[in-house]
Amino acid sequence: MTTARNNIARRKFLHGAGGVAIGLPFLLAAEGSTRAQVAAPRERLVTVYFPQGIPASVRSNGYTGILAPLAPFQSKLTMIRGLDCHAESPNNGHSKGSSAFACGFGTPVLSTKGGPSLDWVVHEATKTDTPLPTMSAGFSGGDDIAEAVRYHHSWRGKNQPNEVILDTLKFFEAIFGGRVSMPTGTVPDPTAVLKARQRVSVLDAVLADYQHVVGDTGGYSPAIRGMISNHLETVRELEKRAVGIQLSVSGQGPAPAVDCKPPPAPTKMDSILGPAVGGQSPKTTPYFQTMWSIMVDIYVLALRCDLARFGNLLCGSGGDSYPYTCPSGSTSNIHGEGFHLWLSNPNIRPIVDDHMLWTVTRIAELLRKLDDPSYKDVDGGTLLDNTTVVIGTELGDDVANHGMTDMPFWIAGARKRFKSGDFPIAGGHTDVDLYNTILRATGVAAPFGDPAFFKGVLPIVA
Amino acid sequence: MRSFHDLGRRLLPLAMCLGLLRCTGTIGDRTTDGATPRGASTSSHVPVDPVPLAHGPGVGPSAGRRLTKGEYTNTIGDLLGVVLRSDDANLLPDDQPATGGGFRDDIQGLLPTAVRTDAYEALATLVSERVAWAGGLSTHASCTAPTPACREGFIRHLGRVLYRRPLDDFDVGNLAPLFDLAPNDAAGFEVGARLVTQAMLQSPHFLYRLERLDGVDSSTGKAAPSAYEMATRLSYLAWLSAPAPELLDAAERGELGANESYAAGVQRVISSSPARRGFEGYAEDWLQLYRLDTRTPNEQRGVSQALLNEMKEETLRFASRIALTEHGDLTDLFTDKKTELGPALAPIYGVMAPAQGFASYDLSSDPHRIGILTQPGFMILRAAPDRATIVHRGLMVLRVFLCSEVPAPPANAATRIDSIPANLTDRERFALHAAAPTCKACHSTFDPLGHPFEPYDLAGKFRTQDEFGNDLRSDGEVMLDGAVQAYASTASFASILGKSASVQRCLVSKMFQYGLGRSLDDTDQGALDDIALRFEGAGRTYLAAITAVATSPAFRAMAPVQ
Repeated sequence: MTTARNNIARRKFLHGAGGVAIGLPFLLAAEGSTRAQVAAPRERLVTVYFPQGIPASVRSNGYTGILAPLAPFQSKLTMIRGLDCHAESPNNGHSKGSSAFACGFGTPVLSTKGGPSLDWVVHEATKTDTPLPTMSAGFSGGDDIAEAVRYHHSWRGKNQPNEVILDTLKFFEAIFGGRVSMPTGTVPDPTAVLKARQRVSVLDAVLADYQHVVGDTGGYSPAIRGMISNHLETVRELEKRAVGIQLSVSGQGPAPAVDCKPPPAPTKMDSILGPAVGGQSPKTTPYFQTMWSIMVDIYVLALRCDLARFGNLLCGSGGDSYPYTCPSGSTSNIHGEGFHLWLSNPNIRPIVDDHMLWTVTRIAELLRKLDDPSYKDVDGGTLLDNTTVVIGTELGDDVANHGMTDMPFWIAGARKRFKSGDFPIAGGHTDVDLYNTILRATGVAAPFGDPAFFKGVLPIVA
Repeated sequence: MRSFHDLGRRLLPLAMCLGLLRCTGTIGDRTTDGATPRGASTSSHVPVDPVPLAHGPGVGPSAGRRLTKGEYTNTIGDLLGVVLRSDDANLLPDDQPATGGGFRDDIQGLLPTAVRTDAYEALATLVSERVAWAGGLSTHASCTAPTPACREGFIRHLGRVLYRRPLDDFDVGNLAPLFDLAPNDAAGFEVGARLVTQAMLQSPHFLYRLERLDGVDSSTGKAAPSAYEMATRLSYLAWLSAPAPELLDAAERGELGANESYAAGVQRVISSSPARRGFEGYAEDWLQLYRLDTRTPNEQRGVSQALLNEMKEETLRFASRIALTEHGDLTDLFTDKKTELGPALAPIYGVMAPAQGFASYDLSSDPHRIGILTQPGFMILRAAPDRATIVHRGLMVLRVFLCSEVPAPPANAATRIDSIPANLTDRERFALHAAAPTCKACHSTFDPLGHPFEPYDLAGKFRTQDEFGNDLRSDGEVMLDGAVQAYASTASFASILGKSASVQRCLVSKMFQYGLGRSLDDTDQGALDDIALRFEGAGRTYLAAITAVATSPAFRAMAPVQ
């Protein structure tokens, strides 16, 4: 007979079992360790990706014009200019820059980034144990589906994407699915309890199966065992969440925080597949805009509830092609007939400028929701104050020609580890320098990204 | 055809614009011979034979491939009788093809993710609840008493089908305790059986095509895939699904071992009814038709969602007819004049639309329609949302029918031709663009392959003039199989492709790549030589291709150990 106790013992065994080594030996620097010992805010790091770049001239007048939506947060923003990206990949600048974003490597194959992403490295270094290790969500126009590097910007390592969710309902289910909050004194529903127990037991059997394959060194090749080990990791995470739900439906779980009651499920919206909602069609900016608000709400709530502390928000993917209409005019392809003509066609430029403003407004919406003063983090600060938000894109100044020089980057919040202001960086520094600067300031000592492109730490640390 | 004098007159002002052309990313870089655009009237002679392949381990198919979404859905339907609706199946994210040829069964693209793991659990729960007991799951149970023997019998019987091999004691010991979570009676047996099913559907032995290293061919004593593993390779190659119980029985009887019986087994598999579904799955990847599923419609340019749907359907029907119904030479794909069209697509061809559904059409009297190349579904595949260029179409021909590739443009390369006046023809604009030395090498390779398509608009409609009143041309030259070959029209270009040795080799090379589930490398070339020879000798049909691949030593070899 399988009992709950057996299940737990078995889980402990499974979790403790060896298998193929995953991850890298990250070390927390002394500063980080010290910080961890005192009552400090949780370490959080979220990357925000937006596509097509922003030309340098647009970024040279502070938070005006296209960047004006970011002005309310400038005291919490570090704008970094002048960085180059040297990543190589088999396709054009969209692919190269997308490969490098938050990762610092190029890649010979576009199905995988060349290493772990910034958020994952900090997740591992801090040994964070939230129900969801990461959250990746947002919207995309869905072009170049053969290139995973354009969509997924949170990676555990090569061939290990934290796959982005482009569907509001799926994202909601991934975060809050199955969670219940039982008021004190409520008698557990025996059917729900049994179902939850069965679910955990099934997942235990599944886990054991994966573990068995990973451990069968004589039977399966290292490549197979490596892949199954990567899958095993995700089953473990799922089982852990299932255990949490089992405890909650049994009335044994921790009381949920006051503000963490799961909200009602949102309307289903998938940025590529639809369905159309409220007269808005997928692959259009009005649709994306509605989706983004929902996604950000869910994302921020999940951070508040400590369901996850790391991940990526995708505000479009590199090379996205879709129609765009604004008061200045319209184009049937904001990528090919928009950004690529920004330099050469003065008639198109106002439309592209408007689209850039639209994108920056989306990012500002995220910052505003993170900076909501009605939520107080453990130190009284806002979520934004205590979250490192790294904002970037795949192209640099010459957006018309897939340029990768003078790439735009911002860091927001970040526990005041970075100076606020505008930092034009000279001297041929790179995106890899920025990532390493962020990590060192966060207390992660391990080198990050392609060492060939590391020139030195940037002078932005507070 | 426009005269050279006329062309020169119209191009004269362009000489002043050419300073804007940049292909190296250095501001101020100027083309040196822009006033004499090469390729505007003739093509540069750059061979388009396949590029040298990368060095690699080669040998057998990749092992450990996760089931693709299509394979998963078919397998669930075939083995458990549960037909997943599209909204169910869409719990799984779409598979992303690896970059080496567009196949979604390439192991490089079949990565596990947490999102997928969650979806597998949701689907396993759904399927285990939805699968019928009577006539379904119960057929795997010889008894339903709450005894270890009955439980083990069920697990071994169902597991043999879902895991595509006999189960071992670990499998049974791992799954049997799930029966303990159900009442201890016959009704409870069904509950337990559904939980076992739920677990099996999340198992790596179901979701992945795992192959062991310790298989041995008893006749030679050498390492070899097991008969069950061969049955699995065959069935997913030909059926896009798991082996049927009969095929597993044949494996158990050792009928997939010796060459003669294996060849007979291959023939049975590829001539059975699921082979049509298998071909359509292959064709969807080979021709990259899955791109039409997510393509953005452009109503302004006449590309509606209904049209996109019919484009895909037309090409699939066309290819299936030649490949399976007629067992035709696959080079007929380039020259066949018959097709099937629906109401949205018929106007593109300028023919009377059927009232509903698809109807057959003989296009013999239309000189501008021939084979797959002029099918809108093929011509639009890689086009931008608002326009199709000779580059997009030439690249598709290069990649799909010549198995070749070009290197990525360097960063800051001008991959657009916006600085060239838009009132020229596509051919003229790209000729000017390719005049820059850094652009010439690649454009000289694929532009000539796109020239035949210039008269077809984004939706695939034939026209003689563009919106600027320019006459459009479909003639040109291409260097293929070591010789410069001139073509006067799209039809003659299609004919050249159909007769090309490079194209014929590529036709079977794609099937080989699909069967191996990985990119080909230089060590595969010997095997490909043999397969291509057998393909040629057997009439270049689809059955010849799949037979040559399935019976090749490479397909039957152990997977490369990495």
